[in-house]
Amino acid sequence: MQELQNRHHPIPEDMKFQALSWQIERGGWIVFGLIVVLALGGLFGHGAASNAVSGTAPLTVQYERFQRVTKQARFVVRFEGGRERQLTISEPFQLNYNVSSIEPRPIGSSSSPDGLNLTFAAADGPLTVVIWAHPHKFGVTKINIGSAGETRRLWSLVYP
Amino acid sequence: MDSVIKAAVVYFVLWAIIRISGRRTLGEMTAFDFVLFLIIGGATQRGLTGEDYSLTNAFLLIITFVAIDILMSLIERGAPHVRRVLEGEPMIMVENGKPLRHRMHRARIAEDDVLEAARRMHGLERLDQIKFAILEANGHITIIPAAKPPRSRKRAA
Repeated sequence: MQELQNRHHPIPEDMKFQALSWQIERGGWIVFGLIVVLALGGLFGHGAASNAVSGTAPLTVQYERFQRVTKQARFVVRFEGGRERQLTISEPFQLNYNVSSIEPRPIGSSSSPDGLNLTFAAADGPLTVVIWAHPHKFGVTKINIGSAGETRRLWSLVYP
Repeated sequence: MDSVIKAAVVYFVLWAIIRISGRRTLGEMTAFDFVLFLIIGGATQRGLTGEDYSLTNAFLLIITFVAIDILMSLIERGAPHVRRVLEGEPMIMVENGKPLRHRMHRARIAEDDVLEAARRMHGLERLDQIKFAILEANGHITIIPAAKPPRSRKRAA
């Protein structure tokens, strides 16, 4: 095409380079569009792709698969009530998260080789514990949550 | 350490986004574009500072940005082909009064944009009064008027 030929006056042109720039530009727009669609789907947190549930009764953990550094994340743990109940959360949780609240408040907490042990008051029926925590390190975090011999593995990706 | 890395990442990601969005976005800045840029600045700032509102962090970020900018300008000066990649190249849009439509279409420049620049800079009214219209690397349109005065003026003279 005549228009794609280089002119030398009044400026020297390189239309090959120009055409390549346009191609990259168009490719970039497609990437922008994809990012928006994926974000709506929850790939960057808060959406269908991000909702994760680990395990079935008697112990289930509902959490966000995709999290972001410093953005508060929620973990909902449901387990059988009865006598005093203990929840054990493995060490990576302690190291990578800054816990802002646990509801209901545990009546005791201690550390063990397995991680953090939280003890909750006796309750009738299933017990729901909600943990709000801010991740402060990016990357993949693998956490084990256990109660009464049952263990659930969670993995989440924390974006920088 | 992370302040420096964050600033460097933000510098290059923002460069890529703005470069990909095309020159049009920069040169023909409307009032809304201005607001958009303020929002981009605000959104980036939050991500950069995070929860660290210390002066140390602020100065580290500023110094890193300025240092990268100086470094890039030094690289550009030494290597023209890098400059071309970083900033783009000028391109002719109108040649001897004839619009190069394919180029204009790809660069998202309308005939009206060229005419507006011609009006603003030289008081020209028609495309045939333009010898060259050049889309500069920074997104501005430069107009070189046709050498001959328009016929109507000739008659008057």
